[in-house]
Amino acid sequence: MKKIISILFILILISVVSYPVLAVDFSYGGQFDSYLERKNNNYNFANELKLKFDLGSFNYNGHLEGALINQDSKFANLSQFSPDNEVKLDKAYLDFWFASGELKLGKQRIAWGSGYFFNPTDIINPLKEDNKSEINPRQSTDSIFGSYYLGKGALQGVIVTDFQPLGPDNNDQAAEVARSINPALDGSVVLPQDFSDELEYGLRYTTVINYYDFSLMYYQGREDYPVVSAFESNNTPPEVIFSYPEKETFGLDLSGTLAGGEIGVWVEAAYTNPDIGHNYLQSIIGLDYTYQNGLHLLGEYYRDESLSNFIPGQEVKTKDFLGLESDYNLTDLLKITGSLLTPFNSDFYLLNGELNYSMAQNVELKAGFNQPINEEGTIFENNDLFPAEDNLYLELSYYF
Amino acid sequence: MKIAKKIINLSILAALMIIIAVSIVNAANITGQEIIDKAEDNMDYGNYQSQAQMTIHTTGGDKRELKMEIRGEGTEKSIMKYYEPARIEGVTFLFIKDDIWSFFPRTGRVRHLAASTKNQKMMGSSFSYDDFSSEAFEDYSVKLIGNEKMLGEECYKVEGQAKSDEAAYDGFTAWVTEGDFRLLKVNYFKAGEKIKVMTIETFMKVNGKLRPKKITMKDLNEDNQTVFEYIEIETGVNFRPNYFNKRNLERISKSQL
Repeated sequence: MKKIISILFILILISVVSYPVLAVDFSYGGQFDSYLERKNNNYNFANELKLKFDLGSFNYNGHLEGALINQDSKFANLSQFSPDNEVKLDKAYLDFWFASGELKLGKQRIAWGSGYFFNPTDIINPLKEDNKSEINPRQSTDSIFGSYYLGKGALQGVIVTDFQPLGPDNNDQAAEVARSINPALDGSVVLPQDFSDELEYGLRYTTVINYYDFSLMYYQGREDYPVVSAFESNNTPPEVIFSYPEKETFGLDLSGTLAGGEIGVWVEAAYTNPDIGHNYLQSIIGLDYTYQNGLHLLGEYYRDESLSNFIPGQEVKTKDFLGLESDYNLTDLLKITGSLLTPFNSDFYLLNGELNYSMAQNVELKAGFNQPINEEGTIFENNDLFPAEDNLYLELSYYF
Repeated sequence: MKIAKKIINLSILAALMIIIAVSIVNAANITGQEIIDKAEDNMDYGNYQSQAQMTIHTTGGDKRELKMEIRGEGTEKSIMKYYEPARIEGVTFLFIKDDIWSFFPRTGRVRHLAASTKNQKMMGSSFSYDDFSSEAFEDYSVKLIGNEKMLGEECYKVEGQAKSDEAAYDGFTAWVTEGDFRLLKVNYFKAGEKIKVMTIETFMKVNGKLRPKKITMKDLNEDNQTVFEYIEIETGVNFRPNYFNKRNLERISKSQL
């Protein structure tokens, strides 16, 4: 909260100082979302007021984005409904543009890569934990981003100053995770010791080659998901020690069109060398095409050799996945989307369907479902890494 | 003296007749391609910045109003940023000749549109992305097929046939005013069927010439229409070097144009 107030103060100070001197523009907007989800015989209900403020000119921009959330994420019936309030800061950054590049400081989203379902090179921002049926959602991180233009291309660098784990970030949570594996176990977690230990670095060169956007990247940081780094069987009770290993990643990204520009194509590959576990490759290739009648088809193949590092005690043979999506405008205001995710060597499927209705100029209604099929006995059953749960959801959004 | 005066008068008359004859011959010789080129020249606002509104009348009778800021350099380069409704605020497109790039604030990514996407409806309107491309008529072989009165004005009637499958439509018929080459109406065809009708009924004077102010596109298959109208326009704008560049899309999406 202190951090939010500090950032707010800096932005207000900049606006007060610059407003009379420079030709600055101020704008604000937001949206109100009401979300109802039924999952595992429980309900999740959230009201979220998102606000965003922008201040700046063509040469700089201060952006602040946050949300007030009123939510009960698990209740079986109305008598149990007891929502909590939360204030969340999603983004807060200052962006400066120069003739030779860009500098962006603060809590921000840095979107690298071009994948749709999966993004092996989009590793600056971790996945969102409070995912509301979004595909590949990411959360912002505190970072410094710079881009220097080099001809048609650009050299980009990023320093992440705040490591955000996607797993236990204290010993109590680690113990809870350990007990969920085996009630007889205890757990603890090893986290970065200090500020310098938390730092992550990324470097990327991006250019255009023969109408294809092409990028090479290097990253030095940590795994977002925890691995079991030790098991102390002499302790009573036996203790599982989780940690977030340091890693180096080398990646490339390519996107463009094929068949005379008719078919969109994208490729990403990232090779990672972690401190704990084996080295692994993650790669995708995707294609999309839109028919004359507006039917849009998208397919993405994903290979991930990393899963064994995160699922203790077993060699995961599932490495290849296929994602398919199709969307079509049934009317001017009603859009239907269906998607499917499946591993190659299993009968497991995760189906998603969604209807999106533009009720009024600024009001949108979404209704959808997720349905895993044949997940029993696979690594996807009760797996936090690939949460595959059946749900029904309804979301009403008002934009202003 | 009288003879000399008579010779001068006859010379003037002959010169006038030659000028008229040459004009008539030139007018008669004008080709369909020249007519459509001149009509496209009339759509050139020079270096401009503008605010415009798109009113979508849906099949079900609903109405959606989209507002946007547009900046352009000639007919070959333009940037379009939506600022209303809030749902699509910041969505920005860059048009350079036949290429279109998009930036959606939600994804934070700049994408080059595949050709198959360019024929699709732009932000749910009756216009396709390609209709806003500077080379909307470049993909067609055009010929003059006659003269006809359209919307009360004497017009050339020209016909365009797609040169390849890359064209958004199989062909079109267009009416262009004889005097000042203003495009008044275009019928678009696909598989032998008339599928869309574009009409320009309102013009405004920009840089000394009448240029389109209000354009209506009717989609006959889906029974909907979209009206595009400039709210205000300023010409003679100086843009910083390399302004129309895809690397500026995110920046433009966040700032006032």
